[in-house]
Amino acid sequence: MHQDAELIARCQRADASAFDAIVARYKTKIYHYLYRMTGNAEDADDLTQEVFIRMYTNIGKFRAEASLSTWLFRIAGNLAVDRFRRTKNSRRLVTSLDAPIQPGEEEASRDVPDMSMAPEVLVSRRELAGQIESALAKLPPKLRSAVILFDVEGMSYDEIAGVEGIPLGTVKSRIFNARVALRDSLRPYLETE
Amino acid sequence: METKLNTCPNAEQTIVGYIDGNLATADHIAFERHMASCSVCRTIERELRMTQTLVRTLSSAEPRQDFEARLAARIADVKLKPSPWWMRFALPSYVKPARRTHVAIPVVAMASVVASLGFAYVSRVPTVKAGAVQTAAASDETTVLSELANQHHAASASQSLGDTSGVVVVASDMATGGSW
Repeated sequence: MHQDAELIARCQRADASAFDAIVARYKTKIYHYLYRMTGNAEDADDLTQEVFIRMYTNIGKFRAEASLSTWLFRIAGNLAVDRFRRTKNSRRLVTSLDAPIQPGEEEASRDVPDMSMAPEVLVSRRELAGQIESALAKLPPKLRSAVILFDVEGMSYDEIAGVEGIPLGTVKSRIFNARVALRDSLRPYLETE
Repeated sequence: METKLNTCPNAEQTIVGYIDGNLATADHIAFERHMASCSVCRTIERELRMTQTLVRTLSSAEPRQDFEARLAARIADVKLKPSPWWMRFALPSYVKPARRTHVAIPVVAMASVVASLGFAYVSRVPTVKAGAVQTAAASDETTVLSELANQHHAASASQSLGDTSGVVVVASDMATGGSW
């Protein structure tokens, strides 16, 4: 955090290397969040770039009332919601595992690491990952964002409250409701436990 | 079968806090005690914990290798985009637009005030009061001019049309101070 403050101060003094350092530090986190929010590598890439462009053009306004991380994720969340509203193209949020690999799409992007589930779970890793992504895509963006920020990005409730601009109790409710909805979508995979 | 929290209205946030390890010690112990006697909360806690485990198995995603190069190109485009003339003041482009606006607005406002005052000064109606000597002189001058004009009209009337020598005579007489 201290390092972030220093980088921001340098950025505000037009130090380009500080801007590069911020990009290097946050690009993967922001991209990952947006990839899970949009379910689409192309949109995630485009929106991640947009996040840093917004940061670049607005760095003079930044007054360190929030952490840099909170600020960047807030921009990312707003951009993702704007993108949903504009495109209203929810089918793009779901990646069909049966669909052929598109040119430019890497096979590895649909891959998942080893599961921590019991070994007797008789479902391929790819299928399970696809089901989880589908279940996430069905969630309303607000619930999806909360659960991704906590379970995927590893943020605390307080940090999520800062990113979303909502009270702590609302954060807990959204995470709870998101998990209940995910549980309902993924029930066949839970019951194999 | 759907498991709901109908019987435990306050359990929603408690279960989430319990699963995520965000309960105070006393609340944690109290909830464990509650779950020991509540099969609904016990089932929900187990299912949601498994759901969380599933979500956490998702692999991380990385942006493309050329991310920085493409970002630099897009930022260069942003820099080249023309901004309003009044924002183009000598501040570093890196910290535009907010700070520029903060400086530009007062500068433009002040320039407008100065321009308005200048215009008002240039196009003002003279309001200087004449002194007694100036008034007397002006009065004498008016009388002389009036007499000269009358003489000119009288002379012109006695001449044939097209003869403009009267004008010349009056002018030359005025210049030499003589009378005619």
